[in-house]
Amino acid sequence: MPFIRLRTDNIDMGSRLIRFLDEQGREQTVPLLRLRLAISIGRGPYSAAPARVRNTAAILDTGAPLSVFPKHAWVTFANQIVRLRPAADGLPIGRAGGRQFAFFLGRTWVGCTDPFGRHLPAVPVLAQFREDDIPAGEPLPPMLLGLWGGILEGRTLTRWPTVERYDPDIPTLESFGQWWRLSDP
Amino acid sequence: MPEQLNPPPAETALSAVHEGGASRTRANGGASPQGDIREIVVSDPEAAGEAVAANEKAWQAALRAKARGDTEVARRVRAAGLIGYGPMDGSERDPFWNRSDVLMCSPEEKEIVHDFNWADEQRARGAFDAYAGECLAIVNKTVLGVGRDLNRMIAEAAAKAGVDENRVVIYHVEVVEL
Repeated sequence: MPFIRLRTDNIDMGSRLIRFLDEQGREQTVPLLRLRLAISIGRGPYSAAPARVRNTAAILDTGAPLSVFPKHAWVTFANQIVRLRPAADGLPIGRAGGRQFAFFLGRTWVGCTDPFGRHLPAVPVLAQFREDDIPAGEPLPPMLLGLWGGILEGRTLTRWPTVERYDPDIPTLESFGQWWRLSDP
Repeated sequence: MPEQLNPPPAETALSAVHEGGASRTRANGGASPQGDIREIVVSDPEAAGEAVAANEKAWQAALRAKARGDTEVARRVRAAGLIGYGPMDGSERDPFWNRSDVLMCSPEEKEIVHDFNWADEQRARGAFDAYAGECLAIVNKTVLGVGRDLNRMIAEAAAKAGVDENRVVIYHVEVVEL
């Protein structure tokens, strides 16, 4: 059963930490967690992915209805995208992170690897491909892998509570009380 | 079983770590202290654990020091109970894990994975704070480009490092939106 583990990363940037005093008056910090994984674009085995379309990081976001690829990312693999025609007139508008954006709907193949060198084969992913340019000075949005029509299709996503604080083999990989795994049947 | 790019050889470092008994045997006979906290961990892991467990920063510093060291030290820390075995560590005790079915990257592709892991560690240490919201081009644990024109960054990083463009890792330093 092929599987990969997902990183549960605390992506705080120092000043954005949320601190509070608990019921006993002790200062606590809220980790800002994301499920991150390295992906490759293109059908076929990882090593066969065309140039410029692999080795990028993405966020697994089960709160996102669909996968979303920002423009700065998908322009590097535009030749790997099958554009799908909208069934209705009008420019489709999406929203992420409080920002509206125009997009086209398309399908591309996405495989993924984990910090241990394991990988899952590529599967077709239906996604929104953003058409907007992010202004200079604003942070680039991440690639989001959403709940439907993407890398979760036909696979099992497992959250495993743990008392381990750090991974035994990658000691900087902190658990935050949870390990995650994505596996093929 | 799906396509198998490179069957996981038993002698890989990752597999060796998972071979608990064999690893502990080597750890007992082959550890070589390399200074600071690792010396204490190697010589007296229980005492090291007590010394750092009460202080979160010290704990993390110790583990990071260990991460920069060799795997023998990592095994000793694990043996001391500072970090434990877990059901998700790929050990045989995981009822959902079948070693023969796991798809592993090729050795060349593992270099890319190592660059990813390095980048994650750098970000966790705050080394990438200045690049928040941007993308980095990384080869061999070296940042060779910063920006948002990824095609250009990949081409330039590959030229600088003298590697194929496929070898360049693009790392997005994400910013949290709350």
